[in-house]
Amino acid sequence: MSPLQFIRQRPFALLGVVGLLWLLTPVALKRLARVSLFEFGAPADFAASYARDLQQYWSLRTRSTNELLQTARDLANLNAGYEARIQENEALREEVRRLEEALHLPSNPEYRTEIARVVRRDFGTWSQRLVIRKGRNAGLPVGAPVIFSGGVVGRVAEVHAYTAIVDLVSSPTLRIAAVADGDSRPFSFEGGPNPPFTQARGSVEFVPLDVYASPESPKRIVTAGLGGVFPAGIVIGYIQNLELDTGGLFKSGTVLLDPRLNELHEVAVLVPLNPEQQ
Amino acid sequence: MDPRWIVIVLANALLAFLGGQLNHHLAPLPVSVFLLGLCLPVAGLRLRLRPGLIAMFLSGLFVDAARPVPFGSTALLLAALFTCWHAVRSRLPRDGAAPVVVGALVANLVLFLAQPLLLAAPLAGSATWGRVAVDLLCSQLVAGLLAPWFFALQEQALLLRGVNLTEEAREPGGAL
Repeated sequence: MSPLQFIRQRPFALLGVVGLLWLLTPVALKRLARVSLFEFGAPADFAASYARDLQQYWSLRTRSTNELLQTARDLANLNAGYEARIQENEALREEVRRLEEALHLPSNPEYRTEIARVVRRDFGTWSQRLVIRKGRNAGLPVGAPVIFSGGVVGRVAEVHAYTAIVDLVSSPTLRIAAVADGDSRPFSFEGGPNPPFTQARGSVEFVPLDVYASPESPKRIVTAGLGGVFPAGIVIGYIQNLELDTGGLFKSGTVLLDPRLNELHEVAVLVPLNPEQQ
Repeated sequence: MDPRWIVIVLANALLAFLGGQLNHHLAPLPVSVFLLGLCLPVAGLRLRLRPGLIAMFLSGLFVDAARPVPFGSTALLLAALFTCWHAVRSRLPRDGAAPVVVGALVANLVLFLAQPLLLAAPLAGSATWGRVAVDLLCSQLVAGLLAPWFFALQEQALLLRGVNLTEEAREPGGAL
């Protein structure tokens, strides 16, 4: 039987051969194919992202001069506030450094901030991801924490030439050590599940028994700084309710995340300055 | 090189891009649409086995490259669905728009429901039933609306490369 006859008469055998060949393909070759195909598709998303930016630019051009003046005045006020905060931070940083030296403590990991535009939001049924417009070209490493003005965004899962994929805090693949505001005992936060038409959410477990939260008085939770990925004190969300878990030793509950998480345009990637410290 | 599978793969890449953009704009709701089933009708109804299998496998690899699933899993799934469709297509109606739309909807449903099997454990069990139902409904609605346009786009693109699938399908050994 010629190969052509084989193909015509045994379609399922051919499918089996294709499947077997794929299983036997070396992993390095598969990885190369995956990276190549991703990079092949990336420019289209990139172009769409730049087109959206251009659209926004032209829509801003239609604003009146009075509106722009008002915005500039608001920004000037904000900048003055931030200037004061920067000076305060510098003083605190210097004090921390002095105390670390005096007490011979290991220094906290330091980060540089890399601002990146969001190319694509992919909030699928099962996975929650973002594609951002910086990658190896900006020196982003896999696992770097990503934040925005409202708190934690997620963690860099994949880095490509000019883009990176971020696993969102609402994704069940992300687990973070968290603490309640004003408390130092850590517990576990995990993203998801995410129902439709509401803001993103997550869940907490191993919460100490004397921590209380309800929809009327939600409890803010922040990163604990354990695990070496997220620095301490970044907002994750608000615990809406807490119930005793099955063992009765801890509580577990639901966390509402920042509603702006679904509409992000820009994020900040924290790139560790000394990765070996982590 | 055979222009058939090249055109089909490029059209499917365009579909993946458009689906991604649609999901980007739907993210604030948050709802998402799944349109992978639209990749199948032209290949399943019109293409011969070899170019069809190549087109489906490469389209699946392209889709897999940007998704958190084992690389090649969607490719094998699309290839398997195409082979099944190819094996039974002589017993199915193939003229007009209805088979395209119905085929796309059935393929989309099968592929959507197969996703938890491809995903890693924490992701597979992460969706609520409400979210699955809403996303499936939106996906089927959008797939139904896009199917005739996407089918025509692929046929016209093939015509530009000098391939008339309808005529080919009527030839001895063809699909019709």
